[in-house]
Amino acid sequence: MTLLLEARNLGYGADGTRIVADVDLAVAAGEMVAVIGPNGAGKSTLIGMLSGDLRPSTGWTRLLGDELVDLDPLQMALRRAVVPQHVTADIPFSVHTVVEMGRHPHQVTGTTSPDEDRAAVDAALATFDMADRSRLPFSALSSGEQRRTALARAMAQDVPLLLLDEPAAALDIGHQEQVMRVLREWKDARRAVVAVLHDLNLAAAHADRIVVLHRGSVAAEGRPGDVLTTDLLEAVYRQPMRVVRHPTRDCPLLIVVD
Amino acid sequence: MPALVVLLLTAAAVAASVGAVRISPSGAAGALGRRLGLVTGPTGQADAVLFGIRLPRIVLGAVVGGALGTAGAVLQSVFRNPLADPQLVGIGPGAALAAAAGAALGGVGGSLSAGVVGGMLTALVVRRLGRRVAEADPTRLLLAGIALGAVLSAWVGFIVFGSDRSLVPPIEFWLLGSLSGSTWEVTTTASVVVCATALGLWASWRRLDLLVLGRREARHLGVDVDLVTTMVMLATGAMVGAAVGAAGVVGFAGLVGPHLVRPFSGPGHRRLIPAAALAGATFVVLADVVARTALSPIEIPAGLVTAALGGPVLLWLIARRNARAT
Repeated sequence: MTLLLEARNLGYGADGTRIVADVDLAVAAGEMVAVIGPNGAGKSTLIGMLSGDLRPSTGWTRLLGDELVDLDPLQMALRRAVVPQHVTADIPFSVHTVVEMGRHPHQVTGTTSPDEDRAAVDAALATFDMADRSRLPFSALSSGEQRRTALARAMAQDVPLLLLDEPAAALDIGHQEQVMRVLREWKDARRAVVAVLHDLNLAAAHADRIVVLHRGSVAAEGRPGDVLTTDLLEAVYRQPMRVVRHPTRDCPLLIVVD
Repeated sequence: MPALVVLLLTAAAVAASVGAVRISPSGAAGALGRRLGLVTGPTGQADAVLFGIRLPRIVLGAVVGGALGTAGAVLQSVFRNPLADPQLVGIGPGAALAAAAGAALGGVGGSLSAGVVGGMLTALVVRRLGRRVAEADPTRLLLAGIALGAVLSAWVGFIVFGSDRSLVPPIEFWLLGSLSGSTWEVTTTASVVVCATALGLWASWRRLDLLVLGRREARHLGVDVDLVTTMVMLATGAMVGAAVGAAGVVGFAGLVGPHLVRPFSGPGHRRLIPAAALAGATFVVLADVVARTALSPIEIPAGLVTAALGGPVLLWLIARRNARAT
């Protein structure tokens, strides 16, 4: 089992007002890790540090063995793809062109051929149900379609690690399931996914491991069945909840109660 | 793209024939043939006017317009702002200030090279301004540019009025822009700078495309965004600086060129940059024809014509943005 991502003692923000503090995280190939937690828990900040957007004030992150600070943008782009929470909307390029931009790191290094690019782009468009809209300008899409296009771009980038900030936000329930299924099938012996998820049942059903972030620190970590307990959830979310077995799936089901 | 080339050549042909001395198309063709050694015959007044006066002026117009069109297209992408124009954001006035100072110190040659340096420096300042003030609201970049331009233009005035009139061109040359200073020497130098920087920017089309996705997204896809932005701004500054050093602040070609061709070229820079350059070139060459002939025998600055035609384009862009926002 190789570690794709390893973070130690990550912290962000000034002393006393840390947005994230003392986070350790290790992600192995073949894993899908969900990061959950209430608003303001530091989820996006954590993803920002892991993707190299934010420089942590403490700790370090290793991406496939090398520390992030030692990697240039191109080296990072050959190892991880990122889909941020807010996708820039007013992009004049066509869906096809936007997805093709995911091939840029490989084109720059000359490790791909036009045929390979075309195959990767077509496969990514088909996977996320965007093939029939590929000629439309990105700016003309609905926000859910824009998100699926951004996911297709990350998939076309064809790298070992996907870092996703709320990949299922703005998607209808059918596409939510589809996206999570795609991600689960995508991870394999050399690839992994780290996703911030707001929908706890989506995390419960699809993640191999859940990291619960609360006030910038890890409150719990483990398999969904072990982590998602009434006590922990009520303490973190301040909302009465009930955890039951999913009627058809082998995972917990969370229900909000009064 | 071929249509734009034909358009530019047609504009150049028109510009070659009209003026104080009318040269018929056949007369121009004959003169060109004689110059290239294709036909033999006696040279006359037409040859002198064509090669000594009109041709350097037409080429300079095309170079200035091409530079501004290219710079406009690139700035609009780097700042993700359809209103970005090299003159309106303040690069032009900065180059004019340096060029006027260069002229006061070193004549025509000093003016061009100082303009290039001034353009590059101002481009770096504008880059910072763009980051600081304009991330949230595109119109703020314009406001900051107007403020910056006002200060720099005032200093151009101080230099012009404070120095030897025989060395430094008058204030209307700098602030309105005119092709009246064209000589083969000026035209050649400006062409070299503009062509070199334009080719460099065109070669970066893939990275410029990625910048349109957003700075963060471009970085996720492997672009060293800070480095690329700095290089692009330096190239843009040098290009605009050469144009301004040769012809003053000719306005609006950086808005008119890109916006005119974008519906046909698409947003991708591989096609957008050459198309915007050709459109900007045609725009300035034609504007100069009007400037030379409208009030003949008096010649007016070409920048007056480009402003008269280009101002409405800016108004239309602002109105369109408002329509989309509501």
